[in-house]
Amino acid sequence: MIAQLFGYLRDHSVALKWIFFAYLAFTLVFDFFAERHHAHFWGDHIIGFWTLFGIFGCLGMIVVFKGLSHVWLMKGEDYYDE
Amino acid sequence: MMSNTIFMHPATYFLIGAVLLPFANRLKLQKVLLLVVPLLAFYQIHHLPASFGVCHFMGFELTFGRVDKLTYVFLHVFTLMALIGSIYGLHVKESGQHMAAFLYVAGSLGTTLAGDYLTLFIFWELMAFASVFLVWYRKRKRSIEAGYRYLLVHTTGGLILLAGIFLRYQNIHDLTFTRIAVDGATTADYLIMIGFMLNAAVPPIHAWLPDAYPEATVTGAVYMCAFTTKTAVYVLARGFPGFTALAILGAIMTVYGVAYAVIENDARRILAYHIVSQVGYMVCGVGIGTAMAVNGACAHAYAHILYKALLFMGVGSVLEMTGKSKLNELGGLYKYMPWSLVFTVIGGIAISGFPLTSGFISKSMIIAAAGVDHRVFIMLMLSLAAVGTFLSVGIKLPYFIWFGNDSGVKAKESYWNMQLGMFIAAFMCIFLGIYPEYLYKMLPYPVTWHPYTSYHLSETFQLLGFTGLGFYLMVKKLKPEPKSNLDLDWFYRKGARVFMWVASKPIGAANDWVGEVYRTVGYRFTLAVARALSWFDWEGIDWVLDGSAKGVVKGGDELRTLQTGKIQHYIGGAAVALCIVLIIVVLI
Amino acid sequence: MEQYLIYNTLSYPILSAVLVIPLVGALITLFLKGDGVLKSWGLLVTLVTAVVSLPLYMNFDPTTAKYQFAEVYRWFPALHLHFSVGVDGISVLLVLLTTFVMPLCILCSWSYIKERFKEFIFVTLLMEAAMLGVFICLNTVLFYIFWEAMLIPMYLLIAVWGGPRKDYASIKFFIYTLTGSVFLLVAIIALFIKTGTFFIPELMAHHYSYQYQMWIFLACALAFAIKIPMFPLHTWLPAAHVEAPTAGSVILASILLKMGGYGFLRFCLPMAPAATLTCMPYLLALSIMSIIFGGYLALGQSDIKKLIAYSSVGHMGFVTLGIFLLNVQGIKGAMLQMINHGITTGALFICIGIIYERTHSREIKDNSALGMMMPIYVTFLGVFTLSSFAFPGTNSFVGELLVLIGAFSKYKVVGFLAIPGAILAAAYMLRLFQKMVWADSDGHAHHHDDEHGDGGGHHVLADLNGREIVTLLFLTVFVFWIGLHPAPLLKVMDTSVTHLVDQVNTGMQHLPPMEHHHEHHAWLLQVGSLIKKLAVF
Repeated sequence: MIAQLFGYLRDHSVALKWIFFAYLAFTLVFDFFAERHHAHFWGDHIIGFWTLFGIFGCLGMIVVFKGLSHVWLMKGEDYYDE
Repeated sequence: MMSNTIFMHPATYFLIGAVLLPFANRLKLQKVLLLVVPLLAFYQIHHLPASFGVCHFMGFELTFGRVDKLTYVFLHVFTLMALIGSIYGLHVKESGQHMAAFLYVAGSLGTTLAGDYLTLFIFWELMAFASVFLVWYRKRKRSIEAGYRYLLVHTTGGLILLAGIFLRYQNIHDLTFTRIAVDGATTADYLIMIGFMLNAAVPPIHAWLPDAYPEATVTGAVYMCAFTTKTAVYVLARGFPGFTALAILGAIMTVYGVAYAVIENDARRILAYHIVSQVGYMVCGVGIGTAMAVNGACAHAYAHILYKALLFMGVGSVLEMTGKSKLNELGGLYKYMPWSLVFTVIGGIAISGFPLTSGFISKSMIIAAAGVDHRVFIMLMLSLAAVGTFLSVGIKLPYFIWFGNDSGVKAKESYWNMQLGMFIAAFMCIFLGIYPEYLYKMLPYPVTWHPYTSYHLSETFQLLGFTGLGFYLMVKKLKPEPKSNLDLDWFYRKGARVFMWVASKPIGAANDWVGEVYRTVGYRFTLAVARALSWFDWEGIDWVLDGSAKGVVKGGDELRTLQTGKIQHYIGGAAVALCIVLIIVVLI
Repeated sequence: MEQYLIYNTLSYPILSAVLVIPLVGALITLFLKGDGVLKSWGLLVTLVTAVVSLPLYMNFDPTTAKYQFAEVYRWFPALHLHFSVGVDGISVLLVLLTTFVMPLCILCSWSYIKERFKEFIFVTLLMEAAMLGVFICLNTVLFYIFWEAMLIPMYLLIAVWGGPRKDYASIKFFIYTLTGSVFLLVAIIALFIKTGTFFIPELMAHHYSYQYQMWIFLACALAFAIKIPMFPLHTWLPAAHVEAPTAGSVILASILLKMGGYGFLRFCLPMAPAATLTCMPYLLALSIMSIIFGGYLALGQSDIKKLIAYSSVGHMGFVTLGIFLLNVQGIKGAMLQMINHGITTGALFICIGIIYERTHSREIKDNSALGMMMPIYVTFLGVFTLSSFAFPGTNSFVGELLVLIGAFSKYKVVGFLAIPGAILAAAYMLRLFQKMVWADSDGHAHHHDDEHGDGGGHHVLADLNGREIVTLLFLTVFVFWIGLHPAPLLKVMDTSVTHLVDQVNTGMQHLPPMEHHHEHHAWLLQVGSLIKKLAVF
């Protein structure tokens, strides 16, 4: 039953995508209305700061860490077994 | 009085339970015992006095039971976790695995309740030795080797801790386990801190965790993810709040762990690295040291045990039913194991801090505490780690196991007890998210922070949403490959090879050489001297003296022939000689 | 003489009894026939000796450092030589260790020894008498006699009932130990010439010149260091252990090695305190090297008995470390470790003997995957493994704790250097345990079942029988009893150890004025004080 639900969702992934983008827009709008009492640092005052933080943080981490991995750290699973 | 206090200690139940398990197994009552013991302990912790179990040993005063709010919140979650773990592992027939788990939990509870360093050390070692069996019981070659490394690392950490305890006792002649003032910290205290940090998997001494946890048994890993590291967090919170080094290391930990979680392939290794990351939040909170930060650390410890265990349970179910845990070998399981998926996803969103989950009300407290304390850099690092958390564990992990490309793996849904365990943990995750006061009441300091503010919600919505966008854009780059990544354990893993080689080859050879020296030089030399002396004896003395000398030499000759074979005569001769001597001694 | 002794007030001469019973038993053995009869007789005699020795512990007065239960008999009055025996806090525990380990030796040889049983029991009982003699005698002549007397039975134990290279091992043991004892004899004679007495307490009360002390110390130390064995004089031990039968290994490990430690405590420390102080840094360094070298070598072994032999070198390194810290905790820790090592390593050798009887191989690879077939055995093995690397709750933890406390309170560096030794101990013991209990990497069980001598294959090995369980259970009880409640033992040795440390401290103040001998040893003192400066940071 649950499996069928997921299957259904998967088949309608295009719709899901649009809902997702709508949600992203919603978060930005919501930020306009959020109250900022206890601003702890400069970023708290900027609307959409966390949006940028989220997207660039995520992309940055993927690029940097995956890069490090490919360039240096990645080894076969039997590396220590020789 | 003494017997009374023994039964007051919740660890006693687990110790007795461990001993009774093989018999319960024979009597087919194992499952009952597995449920009864944690329930009893969970009940017991609500009725503990502030101090109990004080006794004397070799001139030291040991305190087995010291309870305050800090102790209580950890005891609460430990016993609850023991119950969930027991339920999850009900299907395991081998009582040895359960014995190891019970002893492990007993060690953790004992450490948490310890009021002095010696008691703490004893239970600390118990935890290490019991948990290694949870790794060894997997019985694969890699598991046995990983368990061995785990044990050595923990023994070393334990001995560093012991050295610190000794030195501290040297300095102040007091073994009480209390808070250490930041300015008054001595080398001894730092050694103790390092011992604690090793168990908390603080880099650079963290590599044992991602090495051993993926190699543990399915049920063993569920226990292990909860106890060792969180007990270490407790002792750090008790002894070292406010040490800035911890705050900085904690912040680095959070990103370090998440970095590896993003690039790893094995599901349980991802989760293991992620433990490093999440414990980083707690260590950081302890390091910041303000009431809010310590509250946050405790709250996060509580919540983390539940959702990390939930994640391990979910991934463990997959491992149990398919025999696989590597992301590149899995995919498309949503058709076969949907409930495991649901529970894992709940764990994933809880750990990412979605509103209405336990992560939202706990992790963010630490971030807020950093902000209140004006530690901007730390705050940003912790937030970055939150991004990475959602990315690696919230999205990547469930996606590549249950969705992604269909790997063709077919499996049945996991057993009822595994699902029940997951359900309880998932329930708690949501429950705490909706009703955080349940947890907040247990925290050591009064809670002034409110999670459900519009700003916090907005921040969370943005972070999570746009991290999701990031994943969506880069999903191809994140495709898992059957590779593993090097970490700091390279030094001692490669080093160990050298170490063992030196032990068996050069030093062994040197030792043999010395033995050879004995044989070639010493032995032959001695015999040559003996021969020369016997010549001297024969010719020289015989020539100088007579009679008795000849008798001595002849006797020696006789003795030589005796020595060549007739053992009975030899023994008889020796015995007679000895008896004669003793008779003389006694009678004269 | 009387000021040092408390005469025996029990209804029978307990120390003489403890000495004579095994002797008489040995003599009677010569007239007995039949393996069953001989075995039972051996067991009976050793058990009787053990029971007879119990009052030594029960009636021991822990408040005095004088020698208790003393008996003095005329021997050679012309030489002022009396047959004097007595025990103090240091020796009484070793006496009890001996009397209680011997029945276990007989028990573990029940099915191990296959030929010449009469001679075996005879030799074993003689050994018991000789070893007890060493611990209870109060004059140097008797000490030397008994010290030498236990060489021959041990040689025979290895040479007659030993393994394939027994001739090599037995002669090596004999020559090594004899070399040391020759120096001991010289020291004893020198002491007599200087003081005119052989009586040990009187020898201790004398104050010797520094140079004299140094010679006495070196002579005695050589003998005892070979016995313990201290690095680098340890190479006879692995050979002897590997080739000896189980009972021989147990006696060797449990009791013989302790005689070296006892010798240091009885001779070197009280009689040559200034020399001890000068040599202390070197001996501490050698102890550390024993600990680490022994541990390292144990790690690389594939023969189980050799592994345990090297671990003995490491454990006795802790003992000498404790002794040469020259403080109360150190020496108490060392004494306790001697007892503990006797129990634990004796038990380990019994375990190995048990499995050897079944598989006829001492190699680790031939004795693996025992967990499934012999769970009771493996449980006992686990207990003794834990004790061997001083896991909290076991006896060795208390001993090592005391030694480490003593080390940290005097020279922190020494304490820090000893810690890797403890880690090494964990490493090699756990490696051994893991390989023996669980199947090999590829899941195959390798065990060489040669019970029927037909070079068997994957058969099932029999778990422990009743006799073996009783033997090991007895030792297990002590492992935990001492581990959780060491206070009684510590109380027994307390006064005597404190008295010994006092003797060492006051002895150093009573040196006659040092003339020019000082220069000879000046460089020795310089290096020693340099090491000490490094050690206290």
